[in-house]
Amino acid sequence: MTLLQTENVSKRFGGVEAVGGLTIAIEEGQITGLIGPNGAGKTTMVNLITGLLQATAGRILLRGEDITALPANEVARRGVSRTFQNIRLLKEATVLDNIIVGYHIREKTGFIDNLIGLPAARRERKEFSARAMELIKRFRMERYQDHIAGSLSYGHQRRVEMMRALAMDPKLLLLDEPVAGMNDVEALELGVIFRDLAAEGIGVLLIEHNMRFVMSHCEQIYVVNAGRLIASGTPDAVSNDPTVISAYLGEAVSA
Amino acid sequence: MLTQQLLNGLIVGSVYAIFALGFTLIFGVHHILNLAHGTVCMWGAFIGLIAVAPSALWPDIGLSTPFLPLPVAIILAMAGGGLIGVLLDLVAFRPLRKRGATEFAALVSSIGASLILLSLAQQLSRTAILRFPFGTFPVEIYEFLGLRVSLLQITIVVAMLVLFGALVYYLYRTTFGRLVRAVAVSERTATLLGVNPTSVYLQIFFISGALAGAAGVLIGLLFNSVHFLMGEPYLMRAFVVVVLGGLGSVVGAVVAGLLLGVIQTLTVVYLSSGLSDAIIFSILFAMLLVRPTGLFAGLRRDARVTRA
Amino acid sequence: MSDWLIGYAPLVSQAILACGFAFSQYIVLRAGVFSVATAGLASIGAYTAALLTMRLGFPPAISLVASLLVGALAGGILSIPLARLRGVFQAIATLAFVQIVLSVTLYIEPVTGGALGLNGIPHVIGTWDLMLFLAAVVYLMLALGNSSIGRAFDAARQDETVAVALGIAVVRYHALAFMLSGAIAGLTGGLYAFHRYSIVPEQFGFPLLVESLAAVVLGGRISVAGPIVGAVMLTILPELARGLAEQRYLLHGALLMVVIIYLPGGIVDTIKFRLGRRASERLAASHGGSESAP
Repeated sequence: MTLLQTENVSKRFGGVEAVGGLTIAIEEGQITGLIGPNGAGKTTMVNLITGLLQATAGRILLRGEDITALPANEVARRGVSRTFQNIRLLKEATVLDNIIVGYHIREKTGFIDNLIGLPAARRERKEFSARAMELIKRFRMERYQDHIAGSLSYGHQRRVEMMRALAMDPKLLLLDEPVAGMNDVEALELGVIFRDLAAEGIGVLLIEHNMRFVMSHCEQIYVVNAGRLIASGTPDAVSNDPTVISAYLGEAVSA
Repeated sequence: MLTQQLLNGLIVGSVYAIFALGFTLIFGVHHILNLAHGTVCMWGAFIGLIAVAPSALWPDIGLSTPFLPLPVAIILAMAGGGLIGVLLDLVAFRPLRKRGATEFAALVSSIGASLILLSLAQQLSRTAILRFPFGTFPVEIYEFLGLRVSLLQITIVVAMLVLFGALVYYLYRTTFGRLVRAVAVSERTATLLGVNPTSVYLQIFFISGALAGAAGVLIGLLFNSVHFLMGEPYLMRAFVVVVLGGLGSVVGAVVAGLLLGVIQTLTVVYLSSGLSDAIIFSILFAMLLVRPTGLFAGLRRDARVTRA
Repeated sequence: MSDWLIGYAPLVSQAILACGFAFSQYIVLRAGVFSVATAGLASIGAYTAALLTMRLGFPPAISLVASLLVGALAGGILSIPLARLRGVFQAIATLAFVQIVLSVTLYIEPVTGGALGLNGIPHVIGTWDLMLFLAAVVYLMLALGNSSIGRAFDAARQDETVAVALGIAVVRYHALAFMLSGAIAGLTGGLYAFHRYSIVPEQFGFPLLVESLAAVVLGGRISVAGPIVGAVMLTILPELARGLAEQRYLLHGALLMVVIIYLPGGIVDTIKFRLGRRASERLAASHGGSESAP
């Protein structure tokens, strides 16, 4: 079933068109890839879906509900979570606290309970800690739970960010270059986790430069260039598409 | 009556403008609110007063009055204000810049510096209200078309126009001004282009301090009072001026300064002197909500912090 | 204990009131709001409490509750227009708010007594009452800090974009921070009025703003102990020596500059953070440091 559908979504910054009429679909329980050269509008697309940016035109539907004009916190509440290309953690907080803040939308205790510190609020925090520990185990980060997030290595910070996104118990997970800067072994480890997540029914949008990684993990791939869709389909179809090849060769030459 | 009040407003507004020019310049280039600007202005007045009449502070050392002619005193006040400005940059802001600290840190640091400068003047003057000796500035009143205006008032307006003109020329017509504007837009880019931001900041702080020093002497003469707290009301009004005119905008500071002078004079005369401040700061508040960028764009153009 | 308290009661009371104002400033900064409205909110609370009791004959306890509620309301109303502003623009707007409150309290002389202020306010709040108040505020701050509200405040302060992406309604939490700040400032203002016999508008102007901000900067903006350490230091230091009292401005100014430049987190948070980091490094070393090396 289609989880997220964008219809001719566009975004202009002043006179510059960052995204020009993109229509893509993300299916439940699948990993969908979004690839393209630098500046193609991939991160802008993530910002549009998550509500950090408002689309200039077009519609974004989450399970049929129009979320185009919703503010970011409301989009998050409806089950869309993400990681950031340039890792954004709460750098002064520990790994565990960084994950627990991800449970914000799952909190049930009332405002007054929290304000005056009633047992219900404390119980909930304990429950979140326990759930965070499960995530930490899944990502094999047990030994780092009490570390200050800002002191971790790049790869470990990426994992903390993913755990935080998963704490939200999302229906749709947007991963903005999740394996950038990682070696093949680390990337493969994460790849297994992504597949497990998809198997659990989560729709995953994977934005990635690592072509091999995308080709081996995605069921469906969209290729964008200069804010427009230039190809889409299965990994095989996309990798043999001449426009894709020329777009990537062009980038290779200029880079 | 109304014309006379408008004229009075423009004169007070000219003082606000000179004060706000230096304040907005630092915001425009450095993106910090320098809360020590009021105390620099106050020190300008003290330096000017000491140059003219050292006996006002030290009656015992037997120096004659006038000790130095007023024009020399003004130049000394500007130089002194400029040096205090440079000192501020070196001590209060440069260490923060190195660390890449936030605007919050810079604001706090400038409050700290301001308290220190305030305390020194407080002790020097023993909290007394000091005055320029009578006749420091020739008392001449002109009347034309039924309007009364003194030579001092004319001088203040002319001084404002000259200082404003010089600053605009410097920023928009000289090579150095181009470097300043480059740093204002982006320090990093400017550095990549070979601009040395450190020297830009030092010069900007000197100019800003010199403008504050000039404002201090003129305020001291106009209201015949030099006091260690004299800069604070002007600092408060400078906020109104820069928000009205656009934070970081030099032209805006002059237009809004004159406007504020007129608004204030009219509210004092036609409404109530007690309500004048409430009205002025309500205007500031309203302006921030309606158009936080002000009437004119600044040296750089990011008024509100964006979310994304 | 009681002898000690009698000797130092005025100083202890002064320190506790300073803590109250500091916590009002602390809670907005913790949520990432650059507001300096505390002095204005305190003024509203102080005048509310004093006027209700003096003019309308309300019992002081009711007046104090009113000062808390009116402060919270004022903070809440202030948060609506300020939701659109960030950073220095919030600071300027709240500075203007303080000036507006100051000039209005000076202007409506028939009500507020103008520049002469209100005199002969019943002295019903003693040092023990203030201690109780401080204990309540500290409990509230600790409970709040460890709750989901504290976590949302921390997230909004450190990275607003991340906060909204995690579903945190930052605007609502900022409004909550403003209301809490107003409630604490209002109540502290009310206590101040009932403790000091008299209030004048200028007591709630720029110097109080600087004092509250200085306490938080000095002590720290994250830990609950921060504002207490800062406020107590600023109250006690000038009393240590006569010379220091005369140099109050100089002392405050120098402290502010030294702390913001060399201990940017404030005394408490800097110590805590360094200890935390060291523990982190120790952990890393015991697990084989190479993995967590950058």
